[in-house]
Amino acid sequence: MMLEGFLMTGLELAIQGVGMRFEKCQGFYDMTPEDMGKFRYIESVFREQCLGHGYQEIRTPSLEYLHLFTAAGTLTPDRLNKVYSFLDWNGWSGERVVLRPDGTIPAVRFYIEHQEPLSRFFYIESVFSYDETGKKKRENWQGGVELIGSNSALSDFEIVYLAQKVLTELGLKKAEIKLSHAGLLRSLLRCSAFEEAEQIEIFDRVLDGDSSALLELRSDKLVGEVLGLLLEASSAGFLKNIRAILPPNMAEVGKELDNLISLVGLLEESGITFQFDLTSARGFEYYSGFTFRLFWDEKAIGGGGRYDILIPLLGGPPKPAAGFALYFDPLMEAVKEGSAKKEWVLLGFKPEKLTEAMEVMEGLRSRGYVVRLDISGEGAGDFEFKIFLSGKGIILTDVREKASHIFSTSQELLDYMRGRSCSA
Amino acid sequence: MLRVALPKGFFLSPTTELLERAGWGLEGYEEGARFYRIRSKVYPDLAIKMLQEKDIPIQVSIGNYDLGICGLDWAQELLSRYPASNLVKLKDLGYGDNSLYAATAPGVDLDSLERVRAASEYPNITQSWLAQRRMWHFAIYPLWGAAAVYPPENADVVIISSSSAKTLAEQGLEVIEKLFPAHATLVANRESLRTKDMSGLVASIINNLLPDEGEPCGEILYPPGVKPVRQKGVRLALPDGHQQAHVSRILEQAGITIEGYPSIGNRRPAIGLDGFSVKVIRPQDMPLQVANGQFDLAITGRDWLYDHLYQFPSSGVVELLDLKYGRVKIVAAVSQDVPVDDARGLFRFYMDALWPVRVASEYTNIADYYARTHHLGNYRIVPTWGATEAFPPEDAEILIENTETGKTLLRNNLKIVDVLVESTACLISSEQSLSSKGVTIEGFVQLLKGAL
Repeated sequence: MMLEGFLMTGLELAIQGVGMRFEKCQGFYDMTPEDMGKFRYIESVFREQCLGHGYQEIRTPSLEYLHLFTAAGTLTPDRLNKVYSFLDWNGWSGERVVLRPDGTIPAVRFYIEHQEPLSRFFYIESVFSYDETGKKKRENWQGGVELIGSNSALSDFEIVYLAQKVLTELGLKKAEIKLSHAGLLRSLLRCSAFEEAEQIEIFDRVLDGDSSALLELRSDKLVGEVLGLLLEASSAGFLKNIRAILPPNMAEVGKELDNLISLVGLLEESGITFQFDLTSARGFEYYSGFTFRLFWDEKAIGGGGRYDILIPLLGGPPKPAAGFALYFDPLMEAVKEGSAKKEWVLLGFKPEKLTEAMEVMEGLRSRGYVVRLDISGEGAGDFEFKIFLSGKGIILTDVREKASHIFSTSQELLDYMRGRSCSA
Repeated sequence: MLRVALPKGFFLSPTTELLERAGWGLEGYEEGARFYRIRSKVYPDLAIKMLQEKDIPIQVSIGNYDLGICGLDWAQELLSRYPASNLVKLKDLGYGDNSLYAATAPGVDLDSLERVRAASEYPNITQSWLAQRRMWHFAIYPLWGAAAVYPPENADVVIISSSSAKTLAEQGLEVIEKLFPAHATLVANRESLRTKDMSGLVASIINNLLPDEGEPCGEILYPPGVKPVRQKGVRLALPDGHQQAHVSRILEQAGITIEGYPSIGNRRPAIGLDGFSVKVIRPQDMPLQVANGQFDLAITGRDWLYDHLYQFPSSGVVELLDLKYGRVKIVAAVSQDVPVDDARGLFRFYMDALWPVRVASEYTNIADYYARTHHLGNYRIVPTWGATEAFPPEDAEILIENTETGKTLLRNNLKIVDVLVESTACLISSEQSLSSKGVTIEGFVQLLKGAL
């Protein structure tokens, strides 16, 4: 079935070079060395904290079947219309695949395959979502955490605590935490006079960030009053007082409210500052309990919540679960520094000094320096030290101090440099 | 200079009437015209071309045309997948009786199915619709046509254009949702709207619309329900269109009787072979349908088999027998004005192009393979639905097209610079079908062989 005679001049043409400029795909971005320094810094803090809290790292494939995300209650139709979907090489069956649009759903798929009674895992990966404007990023990196198997208030607390701890370690101690409760919202909607279809619409509108949706609910004769109070609430005490005035026909609301009060109590006790804001819930249809979002400089840098319905929805056991994700892209703008800066050394040598130069290079590297070989006599550049192995001795130039030293053996040089790096 | 794309086919005659009322004075806008360029006596500066209706939204959105007229269905098919494209729906022109429907075999409950098979000429609208309906697990079979014949055996739901639910009922389909009326629609390129004054032209059209006649309605009568049974035995797909005469001749010479074929309306002819059932579908759709196990045997062109295999190399579809009719060459052609004579010259000529080289073809996968393996560099495949010879030089640089004699290409001021492959009609099957029904299939092959 080959089309004979096709292959002829391709390579020949390529060698001649093409005077074309290549651009990135719209909505996709490179990460520069500076960006990567910040990225790896965030990643290392995130990993360290997760591992330290007993979470284990996983990675799921970039490509998944579309139908993993189409189940009701996972991604809203609006988000489904923004997935990168296409036919795989074996797509003759009509089955579509997508570039992973969300982290939690594949993680749940992973859990269902490898389930253990209580699972704590985390992952660092990018998610893809088409943005019409071309101004927002279409590939976004995130660090995600999932805690599966418990729905105690303490597990809710652990999720918020861990997210907040990572941010503190990143130097973002004053990040804002806005707390809401999807279960409470759903129960209020169910008690309202709205039809079921309208309830779903209002819930989706809140999740999409349309705050006017709740105003409509406020005018509802059945739940408007309670909602009005909830929008005012700011502490566990306040919530308890609201709980006390709930009419008996709102038992369902009471149950969700109790759940929220337990979490709020734990957060208050541990000294974590947060705002309760019922309108702050965002994102996914699969949230069923508390939800929270994290902000730095008014930009969302993370979010999460409880999603007890998702695992059974995807064909797994009826296990409760909660989790969060931190968004690496805005975090990279928020953090001050990347990984700790190392001192750079430029190492040059006479050809006959190769063996000694190698010793010096490895010796310095083991002492924490970055050593770049002077392969083309470049000389200039942003180095803290320059070292040259001549026939007569080793010349060290301390660029910052504008001073030179001469050593007769490489051991002397390494001893001196150890002292330097200690003092630095 | 403004560029306008007008539709062939279904909308041609009402569009002619509209533009006559609008006083455009068109010459050459008629069915069966030998040329695609149309002149306006009133607007001599207009560059007007007649295109397949389905091509018009793509052509307008990529900026080859400023204005176009096509059905809302085709505009929506583009927009539902590419909402940020440069296609703007300007005005519903009110004519065209068809609507888009979602339909199943009577009594089928989609929600009860574990996996929904959807077949449609509108795969993007279909995907949107399935997502809106929160269908969980689905497969979409993109089709060139004949969607109505797929349910219940080969698809559970079709998204289909039809004049009414009643018409669909007569074809054994039950409408479960009417999506929208597919009226003729005036579409424009977003960039052109911003930079060009098209107000005079647009006004001439809008001011001459007829008052909306409204939807024809009538009582819907469903035929007795067809039970969705899985066909047993060997499922054979025969081509519709101009291949029918050849196929029925071969079948006759092989001593196989077939009732109701060739035909236009009946897509389920009766074959005089025990253990065989037959459906008549588009030859373009056959390789995919054989690959996914909906049919065991099909008669199609090798060109379509290749196009399928370039997209899905491991699909397991195989050619069993060369039927030796319908011989065409798949060629690369360019405008006579391009100073190249062969493939080598072609790629040298375009390798330094600073803009994307447009390769127009019905065979998008063959065209993509050809351009890719020749390192054409910055190229774009422009999918077309026939009449590709109308495209160069304005709307494409290179076209990959089938030709019997080359006369049509010559008439359209084109020249052949490369022959990719020769194609004839062939009998295809899949590894899957051969392993389960190999003996019966081999018997059929022997019958046809004897007839050739």
